[in-house]
Parts: sequence; structure tokens; C-alpha cells
Amino acid sequence: MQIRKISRVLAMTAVLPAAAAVAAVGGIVTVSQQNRAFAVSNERIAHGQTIRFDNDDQFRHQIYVESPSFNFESDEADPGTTVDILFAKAGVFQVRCHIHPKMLLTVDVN
Amino acid sequence: MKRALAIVMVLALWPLPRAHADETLYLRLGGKTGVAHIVAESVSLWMADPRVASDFGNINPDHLKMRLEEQICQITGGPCVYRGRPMKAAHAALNLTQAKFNAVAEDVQTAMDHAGIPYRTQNQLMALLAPMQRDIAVR
Ligand code: HEM
Ligand SMILES: [Cu+2]
Repeated sequence: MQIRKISRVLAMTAVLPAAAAVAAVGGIVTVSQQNRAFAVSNERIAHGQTIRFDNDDQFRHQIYVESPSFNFESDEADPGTTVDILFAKAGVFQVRCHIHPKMLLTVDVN
Repeated sequence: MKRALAIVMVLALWPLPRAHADETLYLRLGGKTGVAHIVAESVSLWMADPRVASDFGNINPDHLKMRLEEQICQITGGPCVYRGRPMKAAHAALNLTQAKFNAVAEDVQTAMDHAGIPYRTQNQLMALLAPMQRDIAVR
């Protein structure tokens, strides 16, 4: 599972143009998940940045992004684990959870 | 036509199906479709039951049904593996009362009533669910 997650991140990094790859260095923004919600409802980042989702909750989460230009789907993530999503393309994306339909984070990637 | 009639006659003479001692509770609940039906009805009842509906306010019912189907299939001797978390870990943060546990259990019985499950079979499933109260209800 861990290996799958890492290889997915590597695969996405591989398709990034060089400039974006540089922007990704140190470009991790952390968003906590607590009480079956994201701790914030909006996040603004630059393309090539990664959002790290910390499961600080007592429930599993399974986050995903569904859009015409970018899709992502995590495994069910236990409390205490993290999931990284690399946003390679500019646009506005919604991160949701398969288990908790009220969870919504809007990510503005420029 | 003749053959169809012969089949009907054979079926009519066939002894009434009796539950074999080695037939699993899973099969007596109707197997995969039977359990799926009971689970779907139970979850609908919970979400509409004023005693517990608010606890299910931020839940994807399809995900919960998937896990419940696996769990009930597994504990009744069916060919499934439950992939959810242990009952204590799954419910601890909900801080549930005994009364809520009873309401949920009652709705499962209602669902089985609606599905025409015999009383004796219903009780066998309830006997497997009842001990979970220790892990699910904390007050
Ligand atoms: C015999 C009684 C019960 C059984 C067999 C049962 C079974 C389950 C199962 C299998 C799950 C999925 C766990 C996972 O995905 O890891 C679950 C989750 C859940 N149960 Fe129960 N449960 C029972 C009683 C209750 C009661 C009394 C309530 C509230 C009134 C409740 C509320 C919930 C909620 C809200 C979740 C989803 C939690 C989340 O992940 O956000 N359950 N239950
Ligand atoms: Cu979630």
C-alpha cells in the first residue's frame, strides 16, 4: 500500500515539467482531518505543490479528486496516517471523502 | 409441455425444505442477496429513525452498507472477509448510549421482519450482534 502510494507520487512527478518540479521542492502544505471534516475549507497553492492530508481523526477517510483534468483516489486511510496529493495542474479542484459526504476542501491551484 | 408438468408434479411431491443442521445462518438469511437486502433496509431505517438519524448525518450509506454486508456475511458463516475496523475503534468517537444501540438493533429486526425472515433465524443473528454492545455503546 505504501509502495503503491509512493509510486503514484513518483509517476505524477515524472510527468511534471522541470519548472514545476522545482516549485514542488519544499512545497508541502498540510491539511488536518478532524471530526470527520477538513480543518480548513479552502486552500490556495501553486501548481506543483503537494497537500499532505493528516488523519488526526478517530475515523478512516478515503479522499478523492474528480475533475476533467485531474483525478486522484486514495485508499482508506487509518487514523494517524497521511495521504499526499500533488497538484500538477492549475485550476480549482474539490477534494472529497468517499466515507463522509460532507467533507469538502476547495483547492485553488495557480 | 409434458415435461414442464412432470417437473411441477415432482416439485409438489418434494418434501418441504428443512434447514439442514449444517446450513449456515448466512444461507438461511438468503445468502448474498438476502443479506444485502436486510442491510440496505436496516441502514435506511437508521437514517430515518429519529433516535439515531443524527449519528448517520455525515455518512455515505453505500460505504456503510458495503462494510455491514461483509461483516454480517463473515460472522454468519458466509464466504466474506470484513475489511472494516474493529467495532470499538469504529464507534468510540461517537460516544454511543445503550439506548441508541437498542434502537439500531430493533431496526435490524424490523428489516428482517419485512424480509420475511423466520423469527428463529432472526434471533440467531441478533444473538451474534448483541455482544457487540460492549464495544459499541460506551454509556
Ligand atoms: C449491532 C450494532 C452495530 C453494528 C453491527 C455496527 C456495524 C458497523 C460497521 C461494520 C461499521 C463500519 C466500520 C468501518 O468502516 O470501519 C460501522 C460504522 C458506523 N456505525 Fe455502526 N454498528 C452498530 C451500531 C451502531 C450504532 C448504535 C450507531 C449509532 C447510533 C452506529 C453508527 C455508526 C456510524 C456513524 C458509523 C460510521 C463511522 C464513520 O466511519 O464515520 N453503529 N458500524
Ligand atoms: Cu472522511
